[in-house]
Amino acid sequence: MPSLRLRRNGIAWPLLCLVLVACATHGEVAAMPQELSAVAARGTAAVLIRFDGVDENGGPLRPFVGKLAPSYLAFSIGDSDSGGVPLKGVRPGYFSGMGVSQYHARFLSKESRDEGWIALFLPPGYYYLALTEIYYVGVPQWRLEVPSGIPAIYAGTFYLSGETSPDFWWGGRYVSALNQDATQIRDESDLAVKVARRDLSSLPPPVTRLVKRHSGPYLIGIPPAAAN
Amino acid sequence: MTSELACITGTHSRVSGRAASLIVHIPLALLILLAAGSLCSCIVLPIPHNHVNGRAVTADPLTIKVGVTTQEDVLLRLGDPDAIWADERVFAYTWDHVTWAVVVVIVSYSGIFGAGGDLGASHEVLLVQFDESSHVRRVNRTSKPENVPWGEFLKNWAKGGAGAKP
Repeated sequence: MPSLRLRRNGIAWPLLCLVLVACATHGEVAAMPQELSAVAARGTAAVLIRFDGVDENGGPLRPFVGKLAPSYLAFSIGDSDSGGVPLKGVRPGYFSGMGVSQYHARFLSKESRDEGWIALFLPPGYYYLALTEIYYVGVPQWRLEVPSGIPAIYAGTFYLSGETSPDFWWGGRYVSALNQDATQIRDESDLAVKVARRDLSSLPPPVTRLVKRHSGPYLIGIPPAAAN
Repeated sequence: MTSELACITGTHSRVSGRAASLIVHIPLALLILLAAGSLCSCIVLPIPHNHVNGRAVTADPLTIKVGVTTQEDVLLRLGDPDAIWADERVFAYTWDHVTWAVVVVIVSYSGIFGAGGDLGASHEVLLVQFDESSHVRRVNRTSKPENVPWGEFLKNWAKGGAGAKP
């Protein structure tokens, strides 16, 4: 029996340590080589989005600062496969893309993570974002247009207004509620160019195609290259 | 020796008595567990249902005439579509026809909780394709299989599949 316990511990503890070390050192998964090569082959575009805002005390809302493992700020994406309805949950960071969605929201570096940047690697098309992991009717949706032939896109800064709560698991605070109607889209193109130069240096500077508040029919297909 | 034997026998009889009481208590414990389980149980009730999620298109597709009805006519008659595939000039009107609902009741020590949801919905769709002059080229009312993604379904239809009619 002791040998069994030893054997069990012998496997479990190093494994647990390995997982903890992996989580601690790789809290963010940078863009995968295949994602960057797909961009280079003009199959997809790297889409940069920033999340920023204010909390209930008027302080800065930094949704990803200090988060070693999963981000609490999740959103959902709709694409042509879902008929546009944002049904695919995406949680930026370590567990990105582990749910039903095949989309990964990457933190490109610790700096960009703390600044609120994420990167999505998307084939050309129309996408619909809702700032909630499980979409429900009434939540504002934002249309993101990814035309063909543009390797890097800056889709805007979601300026959020939300409440934070203490994070007992990972420390610090997390965004526990969002005032969805107060969400604004801001243009920080200059900042996006700097971030792309730092974290996506193999790609040309991003082209700004700000997301738009969506209403009416879902558009499906490939958006025109010129912004409309 | 006798006393030892008596003691051993006595011990044996005590062990046997404990074992016997365990044998009696195991079913009792199981009964208590079952009773506790029944106090914290989950009941799932499927209910036949008939309602529509979304805006059902009631217009007969046959009243939309190929080559005659225009995009404007379709918009006036059916309103905005749910989705537009601009590249292929396709309007898609979609709704779900729900035939079964499910009610879940959870009874626990802390109270009774209930939830409901749809089950067994068919995904109905009316697809209208226009030509370059904005006249109807094809119209088709069909159902989208559950396991086929929308994009694939539309591409297949545009190629003439998915039960498409000219």
